[in-house]
Amino acid sequence: MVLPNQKLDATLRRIVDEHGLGSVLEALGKIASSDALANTSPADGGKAKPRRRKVKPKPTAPTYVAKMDLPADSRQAIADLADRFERKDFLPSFGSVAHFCAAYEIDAPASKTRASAIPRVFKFIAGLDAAEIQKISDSGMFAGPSRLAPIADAIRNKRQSGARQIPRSHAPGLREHK
Amino acid sequence: MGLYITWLGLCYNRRRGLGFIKKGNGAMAENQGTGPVCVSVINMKGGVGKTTIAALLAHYATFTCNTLAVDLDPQANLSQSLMGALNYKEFIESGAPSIVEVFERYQLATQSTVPPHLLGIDDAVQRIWPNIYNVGRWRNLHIIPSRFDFSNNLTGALSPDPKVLARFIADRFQDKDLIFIDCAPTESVLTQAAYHASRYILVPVKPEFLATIGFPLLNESLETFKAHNPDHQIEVIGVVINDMFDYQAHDETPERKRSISEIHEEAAKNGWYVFRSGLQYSRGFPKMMRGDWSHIGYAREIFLEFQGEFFERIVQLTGDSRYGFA
Repeated sequence: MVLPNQKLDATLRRIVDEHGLGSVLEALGKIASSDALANTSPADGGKAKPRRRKVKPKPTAPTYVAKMDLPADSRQAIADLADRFERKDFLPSFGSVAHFCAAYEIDAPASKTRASAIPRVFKFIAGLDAAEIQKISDSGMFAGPSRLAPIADAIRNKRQSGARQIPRSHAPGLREHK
Repeated sequence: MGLYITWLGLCYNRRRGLGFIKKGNGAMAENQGTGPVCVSVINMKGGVGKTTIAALLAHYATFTCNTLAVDLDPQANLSQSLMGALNYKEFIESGAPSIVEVFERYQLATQSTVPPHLLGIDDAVQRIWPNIYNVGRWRNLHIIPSRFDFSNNLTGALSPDPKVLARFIADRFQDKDLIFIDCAPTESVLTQAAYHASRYILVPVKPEFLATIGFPLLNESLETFKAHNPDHQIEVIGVVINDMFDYQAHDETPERKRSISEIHEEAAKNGWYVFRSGLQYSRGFPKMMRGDWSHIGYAREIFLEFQGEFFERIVQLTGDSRYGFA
């Protein structure tokens, strides 16, 4: 049985023998450069091949945020959140995205993917005050599962140091009214 | 089961799942100046799910109302769960005021130049959520966190005042709708402090042998408190059965049936209501406590079904239109 490649090989050899390698290569180059012919093949009877659909690059939070018109005071914080979203350090699962949307009454994305939620989540965040964005960033609620080791280490260190080290003015999260 | 409507503005239907009721449909109105309803989560028996229930009640209540959680347990599990590990670590390391300072009634001196001083209006409180404005009002979740040295501080105090917490709350949290206090399982001055601050007691229990052993202890403790404070209105809002069904066995086992029957009998002796919507077992609950919201199964729906009944009960008892549908 003659394999297709062997058949092509034999055909080309016959053509090269007849016209010379240089002429054949030149002719092939012209064929390749012709768009109309480039999309045809003898196998499908000369029908035009369907054009390849352009594959859109996967949307990412940083690229989406980069295109947004953001207030100067919160631009960096939102960009940081977008980077963390990409690293799965912020809203790391679709479940956490859905929880975030429910908490803030944002419509949940129809498609159950994190990527599909990027526009509505970041549009919502962009509408908040800079301080609130910082709070979202600091909140453990949206950063994924907690690990107990940091707490255990903090308690151990505190017991060992035996006293408070940091002035009260540096304490985090003092109550802020509206 | 038909449409189950909660006052939270959430609705749950077993077939259709969870959804929100349209805004303005009788959901939370402006705080009418009647102050918050304060509920302590107490059982004299440990390991019944007090902290899990307090944390989830506080968490989901904040979807539509202004909420405060108070961690009265020196183990501080409620604080760790609601604040998240990294925030709690930062809180511990900073030496920020906590429930310890609320009972001490001042901020201790630090090694820096900060001298001892009285607590400021915003001290000893941590904000958990960003502020959200919806249904015509602000809502948020704050916590008065606990610390591991809480019990040491109380032991060292000559005579801790059990009314301190009630005064602290009355002074600073009239803008809240709901306050949940997570209590330690053993009776102490902290239990008395919770009673003084509370209008209602929620009693979680698990369907197992010795489950109801905490009931007579709690009843006696509560009756003693009422005898000493006859003008203080406090009552058990209900008993919630945690881990109600054994899903892995796909049925109630005879032991569970026996235990549930005992819970109903003992609750009836004290005149306590037992919630129809028990919390069924779900592996989602520990994940939610950890802040992992992926693949939590029906845990959210199970909890909201209970929470709906819980708030219906508040509406029944208080008649406060803030908490229900017209």
